[in-house]
Amino acid sequence: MKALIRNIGHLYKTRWSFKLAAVYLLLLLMLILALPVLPLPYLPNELDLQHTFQKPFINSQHLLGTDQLGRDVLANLLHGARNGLSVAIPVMLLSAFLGTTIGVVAGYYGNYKLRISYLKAFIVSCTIVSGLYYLGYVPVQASIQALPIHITYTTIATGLGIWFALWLVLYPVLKRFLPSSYTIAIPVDSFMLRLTELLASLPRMMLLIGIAAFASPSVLLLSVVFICTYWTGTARLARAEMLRIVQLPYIEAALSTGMRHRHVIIREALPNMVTPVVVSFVFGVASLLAIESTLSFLGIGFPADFASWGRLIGSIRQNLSAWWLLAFPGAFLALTVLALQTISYHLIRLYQAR
Amino acid sequence: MRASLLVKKFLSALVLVWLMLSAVFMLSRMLPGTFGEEKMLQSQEGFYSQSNHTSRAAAYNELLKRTRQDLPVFYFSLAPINLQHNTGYSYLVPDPEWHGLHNQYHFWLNDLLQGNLGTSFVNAKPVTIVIREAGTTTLVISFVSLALTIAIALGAGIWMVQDTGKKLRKPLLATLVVLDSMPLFVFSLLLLLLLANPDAWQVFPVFGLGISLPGSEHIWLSQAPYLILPVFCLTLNNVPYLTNQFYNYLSGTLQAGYIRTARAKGLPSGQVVTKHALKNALLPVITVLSDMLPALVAGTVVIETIFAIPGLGRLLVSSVLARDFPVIIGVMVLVAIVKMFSNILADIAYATTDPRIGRRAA
Repeated sequence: MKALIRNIGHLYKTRWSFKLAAVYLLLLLMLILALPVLPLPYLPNELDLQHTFQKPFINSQHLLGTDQLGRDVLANLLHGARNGLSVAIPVMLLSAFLGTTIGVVAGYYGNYKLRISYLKAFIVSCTIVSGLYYLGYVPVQASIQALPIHITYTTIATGLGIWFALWLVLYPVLKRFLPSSYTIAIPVDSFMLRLTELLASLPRMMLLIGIAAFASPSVLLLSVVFICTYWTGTARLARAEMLRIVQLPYIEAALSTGMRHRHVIIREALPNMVTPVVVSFVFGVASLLAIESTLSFLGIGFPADFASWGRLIGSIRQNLSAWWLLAFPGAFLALTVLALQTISYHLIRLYQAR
Repeated sequence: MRASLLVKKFLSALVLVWLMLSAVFMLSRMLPGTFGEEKMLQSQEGFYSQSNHTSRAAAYNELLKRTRQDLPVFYFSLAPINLQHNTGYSYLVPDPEWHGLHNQYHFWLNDLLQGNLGTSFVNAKPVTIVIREAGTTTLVISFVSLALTIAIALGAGIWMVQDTGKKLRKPLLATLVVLDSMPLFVFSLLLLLLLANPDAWQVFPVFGLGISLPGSEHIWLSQAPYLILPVFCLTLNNVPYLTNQFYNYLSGTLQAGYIRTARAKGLPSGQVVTKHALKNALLPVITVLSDMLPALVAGTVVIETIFAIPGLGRLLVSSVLARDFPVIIGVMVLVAIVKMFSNILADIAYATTDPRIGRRAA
């Protein structure tokens, strides 16, 4: 982590393109954070039907012009930046976390190293199945059918009770009678690879469009789908890094001092792969911004009142001479993606050169 | 590559495609809101129908029956939580129900295996015909664009590693990075505004594919001008990535020892690259090419929507907006199968160009 910060500082001082990108992104971030206190005359969804397709720099009320419904371009631009980043950053944080965890475990343990006793495997599968029913199926059904709330509470309480009984009563009791030397190897690695292949069997865009078609437009649902499809990139990277790190001598040294696997992963291996994970995070944010605006340009998946650059650009299709509807948001989008890509490019170059 | 390995790969790919498509199908049926539910079950008189509520409900049930949506979704299910029938806390015990073969999934899979994708909800045409009508245009666009992309990327890559291209290498790579950062829809709208706009230069026709009478002979000739701009956009969208990859492989190969040998024996640098380095640098490109299919699919969706070309991408978008599930799933089936075959083809091509791989894997 320290090395990463030092690297960033070094790049900031020596590479002008890195500096430019970083300054641009910081300015954008500050603008977004200051959005609630900025004196904008309009909200992004406020209609002004007297002034449709206003040209920019003419009307002092609509500084950057308006679209076909008189919505202010400037307000949409800033709110679009906020909405885009507030989808992309949390989604990418979660999927980077998920991907790193899965990739690290898969790369470290491989197919044979992770062994647990039959008893524990049994208890874990019971936990998963009961969790799916009591904490998943019944609460979801109850909320869809609008059943009385006490049903949700009782099932969740029952589910937690069953977990409690499984782990604190059944597991210690059975452990006395069954020898824990019978162990089963869990093929985490091939499990992860199959899962990635499965998710890659349909193009991501296809999957997003399909799921957007089946459900009503919702930012939350789309974010979940983003997370489910974006973790694979980070996971593949983390797995490859882990495969490289595991065979280094210092891991063997750490193991020979009697460190547990978990500690070796967290304290020894993870700090050495911070840079690639950060790079994949930055890269993912850029790609998410592009995909988010493409989807809202197509009018798929996001609610109609979700202000975004893509929606703003999409309104140009009503009037092809309204160049300002493309120029401002398009330039912002391309610049932001370019800045993010520049940063990840420099980071990866430095990492590879080492 | 050995045939047994090929069969094994094919089978595992088939299983993956089956799992994915089943998941998509289940998702499409389990999320609430069926086609026509909103319009047909509204309690007030609507714009489209003045009949009373009961007859509309009857029509809705008829629709469900015809599209088999009244059947259970899967072979088994958990009984719904019903407060009227069971009292107390019976919902705490799961109650699985067995439906037998008479379910939506079974019928769908049966039809799919027989090559029947159902009929469109929108116009009651068979989905296979709808897809075939739209597919030819998309096929032409993506193939032409892919061929152009490969040609440009190879040319630019070979040119950049040679001494003649040394001066322009840096600005070219920087241009590619900038080009790569611009999303396709922004880029194509920009070109549309500049090159097909009465306010700027009107070089190309703007939308659609022009008027084509059925049976006319020179249909491709009349459509060609309409396709130039879309193909150009799609090509330029994919060029940066491929060029970059190819350039990296090529300059990596040029570090190898046998290249130094070739240079030492006095070959001109152009011949060193084309005769010696190119073959080995092309190997990884095969995998990259088969990985480019998703970008191509996403690209055609955007391109066809912007330029109003009646192809698969636009079909997909319009079916999504109309919630025409059979067509959506049909397009997905097609893309998944194409992707599966392109992966297998890449494996075969890789193994034939590099005999070491087949031997190692076998």
